[in-house]
Amino acid sequence: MPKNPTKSKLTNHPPLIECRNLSKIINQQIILNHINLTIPRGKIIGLLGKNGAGKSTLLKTINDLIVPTSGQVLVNGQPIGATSKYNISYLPERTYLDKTMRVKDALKFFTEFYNNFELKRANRLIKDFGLNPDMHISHMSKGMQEKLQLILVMSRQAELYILDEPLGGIDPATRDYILDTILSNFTDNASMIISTHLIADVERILDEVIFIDQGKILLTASADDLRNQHHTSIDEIFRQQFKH
Amino acid sequence: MIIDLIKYDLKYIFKTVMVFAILLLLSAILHNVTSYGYTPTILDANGNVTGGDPDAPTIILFLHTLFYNAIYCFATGLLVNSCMRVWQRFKSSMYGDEAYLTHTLPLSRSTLWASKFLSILITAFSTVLILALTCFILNLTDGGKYLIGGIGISSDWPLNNLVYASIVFTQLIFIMMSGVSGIILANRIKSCKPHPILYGFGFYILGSCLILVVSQLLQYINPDFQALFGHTFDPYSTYTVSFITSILTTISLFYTAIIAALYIIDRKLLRRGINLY
Amino acid sequence: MLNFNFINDRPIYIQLVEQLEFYIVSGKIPPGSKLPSVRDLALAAKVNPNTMQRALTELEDLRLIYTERTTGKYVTNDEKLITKYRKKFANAKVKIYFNDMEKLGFNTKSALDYLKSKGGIK
Repeated sequence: MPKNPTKSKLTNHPPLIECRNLSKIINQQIILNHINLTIPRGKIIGLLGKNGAGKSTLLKTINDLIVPTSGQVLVNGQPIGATSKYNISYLPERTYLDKTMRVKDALKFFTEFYNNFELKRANRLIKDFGLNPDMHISHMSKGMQEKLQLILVMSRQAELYILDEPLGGIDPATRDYILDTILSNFTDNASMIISTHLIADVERILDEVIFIDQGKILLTASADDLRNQHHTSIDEIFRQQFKH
Repeated sequence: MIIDLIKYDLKYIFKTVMVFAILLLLSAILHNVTSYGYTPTILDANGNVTGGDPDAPTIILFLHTLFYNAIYCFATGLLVNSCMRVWQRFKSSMYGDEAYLTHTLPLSRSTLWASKFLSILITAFSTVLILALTCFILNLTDGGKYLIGGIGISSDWPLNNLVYASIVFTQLIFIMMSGVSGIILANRIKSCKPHPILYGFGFYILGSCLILVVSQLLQYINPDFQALFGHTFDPYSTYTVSFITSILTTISLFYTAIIAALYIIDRKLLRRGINLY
Repeated sequence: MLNFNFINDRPIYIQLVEQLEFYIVSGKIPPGSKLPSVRDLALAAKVNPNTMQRALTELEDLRLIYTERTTGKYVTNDEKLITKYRKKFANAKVKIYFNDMEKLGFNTKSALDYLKSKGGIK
């Protein structure tokens, strides 16, 4: 096992992520239902669906936090492993940092474990967001903790960024700032998956959208093409699609 | 990277283990300090007290008793706390909120598991080291010698002490591993909360029974075990050092074998994947 | 500096095309001037770089901008073309005026007279 897994070759042939017939059953309920999906390079993709549609489960499966009942996930054509984890930067919905740490301890942690972590960028973002490097994470508000986690995730030079509800605990004024931060720190040829139900806030930066419901992919399309087709916003299309 | 993983594990574990260790060593030192001029009380044939040291001031005697008991308390506390912290750390870093970070680190599950095992080894070793140090400190005074003599440790039989330490070491690792295996198995089968403890106990009892069974079987080939189980030795006589050493060493080896088996089983279980719901 | 405003109801790239077109025909981005990089433009507009790229490709199809392979993208120097597009915007404005005035009950002639009378509004 190499100490620093080398960045996989950016060939155009294997897609960044490929889900083949991915299914997951939890407590006899079908959470993911034979999902077939590819994630291309260089795109910002919105994973949109109601609560309980399977968004988080799908993202966790890609990140090796859930074992598929059947089917598989390939990252750059390879099964999930140390290399795929090196190339994916994941922001889960919950706080995963050791709360006894200080902000600077968290930075040190990421520097130690990820060769593609850019400390300079992280420090700059910490200043921009007004966070104090010496503060204990347990003393920070939930919003500040979420900002810190976002900074840690975005400061990695990854091929794929997966953000699960990144705007959840953030006040509306800061949301725009965060979207700007995401855009300005977004590197060429990397892809990003943003899973959210705050569609109106996020839709303008999306290249493509995936609608998921009850563990099935309903549609995958380019955002602007959908707008052209339906003559309305993605948010509105979503509401119409999932009307009761 | 394994070193970094171990570092963070040990930081968490030793936060409280260190406290017990310091308290234990302090108690031992203070016990020694307050046991000046100690001689054991002697009863004559009529049950009257002769000898002893009635001249030590009451406060010293009081403190001496205090530290004497404190040693037992903190020794137990050290052992219990080291196990509990190992289990807590394992549970939270592998299956708690922090697991979202642990399992997305760029390394294989085998590497992760190896680092956890090494953390257990280092913790158990440190605990035994602290206990040995305590015995060493106590050995410096007569009163202390009396205390540790009561659990069979004497400076007369250094090899015996080493075997004693290795038994405690392997037993401790076995207990820690049982708990850890219980946590792993519980997540594989169902993510229910009470189950890890049951599974942990199960592993412990299973392992202990296995040791007992193998020891029983050994009496047919090993003369020492034959003597042990056949009661053909006099338990009130001082049996030879080699007898005790041989039995305890063999048992240590058995424990080591069980620990190795648990290591392999757990690694297989972990490589099948985990579920964080 | 360039300001952009978008609504989510219409394709973003089309709105980008319209707004960039307006800046070009109004001279805010002068003819022949060099455009910032796609990335910088996208950041200024707060949109996805891919979307900005699509808009710029459209503008290139309209011949309003062109790409110099080694140096970047430039606004055209073709004054006639720019005037043509300027007129297109102006025509659209006029059409809106007459349509809205018709809804208010003014026919074309009275709307025109009204405009003349109000010609010097500050």
